[in-house]
Amino acid sequence: MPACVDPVDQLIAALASISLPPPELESLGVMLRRDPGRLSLADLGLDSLGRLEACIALEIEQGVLITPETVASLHSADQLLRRIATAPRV
Amino acid sequence: MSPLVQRLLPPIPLPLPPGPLPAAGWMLREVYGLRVAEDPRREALRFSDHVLSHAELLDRLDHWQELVQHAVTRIGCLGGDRLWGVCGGDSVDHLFLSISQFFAGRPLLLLPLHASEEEWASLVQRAGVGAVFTDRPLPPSLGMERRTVVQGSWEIWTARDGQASAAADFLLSSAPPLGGSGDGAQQARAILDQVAGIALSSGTTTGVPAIQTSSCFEALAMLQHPEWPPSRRMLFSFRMQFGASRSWALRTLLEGATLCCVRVSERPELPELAGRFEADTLPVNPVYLEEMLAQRLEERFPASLAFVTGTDRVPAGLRRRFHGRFGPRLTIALANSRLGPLTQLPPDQLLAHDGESVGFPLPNVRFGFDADAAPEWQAQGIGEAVVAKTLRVRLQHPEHGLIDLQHTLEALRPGDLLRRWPDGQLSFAGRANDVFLFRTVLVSPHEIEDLLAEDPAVREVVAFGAPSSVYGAVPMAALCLQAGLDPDQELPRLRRLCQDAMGYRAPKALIPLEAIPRGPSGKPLRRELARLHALS
Repeated sequence: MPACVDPVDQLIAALASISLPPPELESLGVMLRRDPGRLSLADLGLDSLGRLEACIALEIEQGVLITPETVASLHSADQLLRRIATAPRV
Repeated sequence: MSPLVQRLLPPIPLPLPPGPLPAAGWMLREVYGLRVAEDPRREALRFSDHVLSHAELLDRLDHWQELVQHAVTRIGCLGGDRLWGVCGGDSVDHLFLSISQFFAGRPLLLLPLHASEEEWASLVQRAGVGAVFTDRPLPPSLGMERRTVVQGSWEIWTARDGQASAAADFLLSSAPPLGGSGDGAQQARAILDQVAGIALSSGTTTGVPAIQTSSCFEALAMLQHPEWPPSRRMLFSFRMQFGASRSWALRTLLEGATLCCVRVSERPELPELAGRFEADTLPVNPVYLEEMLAQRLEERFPASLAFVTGTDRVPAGLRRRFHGRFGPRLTIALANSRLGPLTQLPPDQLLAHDGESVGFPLPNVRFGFDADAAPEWQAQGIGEAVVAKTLRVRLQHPEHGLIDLQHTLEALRPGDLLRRWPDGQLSFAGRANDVFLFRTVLVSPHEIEDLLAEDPAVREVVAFGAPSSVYGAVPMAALCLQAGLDPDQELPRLRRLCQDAMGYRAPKALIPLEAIPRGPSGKPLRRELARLHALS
């Protein structure tokens, strides 16, 4: 899968890779662009296993280095997108 | 010769060579000679259009020993305690040379032909090889120089600085510990000191270059009282794991059975050849067996017994294809080059436990569990295997008649993870260094491989754990798709297939390859793949 540049695209691609992805990924992408501060991590389907899988997908497929522990310390999708944008790259 | 061996051996007039006694093994030639004398004309070896009886074979072996003896005398390299490497292509000369030197008591290390130059240099250095019999030029990095010709293309090369390592001591100290403290064990140990002389394992898997004691003891057992004589006529294909193939050839000949040799360079169709040779046994490695089955050659498969060597398991797909085709005449035994046959699986139970079982231990083999196995494994009923194999050797005592010596070889912590089913069958749960910890969960690469191999789009697959400082090891799989299939379409589908079946333990990356990288024995190079795809 080609790496994306936009953090929203990167996150959506990672969410699509986990074993139990959130439903309606397309509309979730629209909401992430429109008002990410209103979405919690639970809204993204990121429970403990989801965080694990999403972080691995971000590293393998997008080259974004972010750990599940870091994601667990965040509260909203907005924070997560900012972390993805500033995270070190492989 | 030690007083013990003098006491135990029958009073045979043994011609002692001049000078220092050979280090080990030479009495096997005499014992084999006694076996040959029972039926000198019995067929021993078939190769190309030639047939050799056991008596003729013994002559050939003696001839090769004379040639070698002349050669080493010419270069003043008589030491019997030096470790000699043997490097050569698949040929009967290789067999003649190896066995004659085994009988001569010369410690040998069979060098794997397809190893890289670096692996060779490492092996030669670790084992302390001081000289090499070879039928081809050796790479300069080994630090060896050509010294003399033995016969034909076979030459002797020695270390350039002339310094031979103290190989015999090194090798004996690398042998597995000898169990037991009774008189029998002590006698056996003393005999082993006398007969230790050949390496049947290249050590590329274990990292230990040679285990002579077990090999020699089993060879002696074969001569005296074979406990596992499955073959009367074996087709020898050279296509097994390198060390194992030599082991089988040697054992077959020592048993007094017939060995039919086929050059792999002739690309033989083994079922056809085996039929022509009327072979009742055909040891093959799983890779070749898969090739045969892929060509739908199983209908002509001639064997009454299938040995699957050089592997930790018999692939489930292979069992299914065998199941029902061969009825009661086929069974599968699991063997390795270090301890020989270990388990046997009856034909009616080929699919036992979903094809995972490797069968029941042979009567003289005991599998145990290491009590200190990791808690995660114990919770799953898996233990690290401790394998012990008892061998009996009978020696004719001039005064006390037949003496039975019983000896136990132990392979401690071989790295195999084993599960024992309630009915007594065993299955491998992978090798300890193959099973990996993904966060807090154990993942077996075989689970991933079995799942993907079932899919018709997949031609070959190998799974591995890519190392990561954050996740431990991340499950991944490298695979080859069937010709003509589009990876962009197939890989997402296969990924979803894995996720549906395995959840979050599913492989996190599917890597399409043209061919799976494999070592010289056909085993996939998981570690190399893991290294290439390591995460942060």
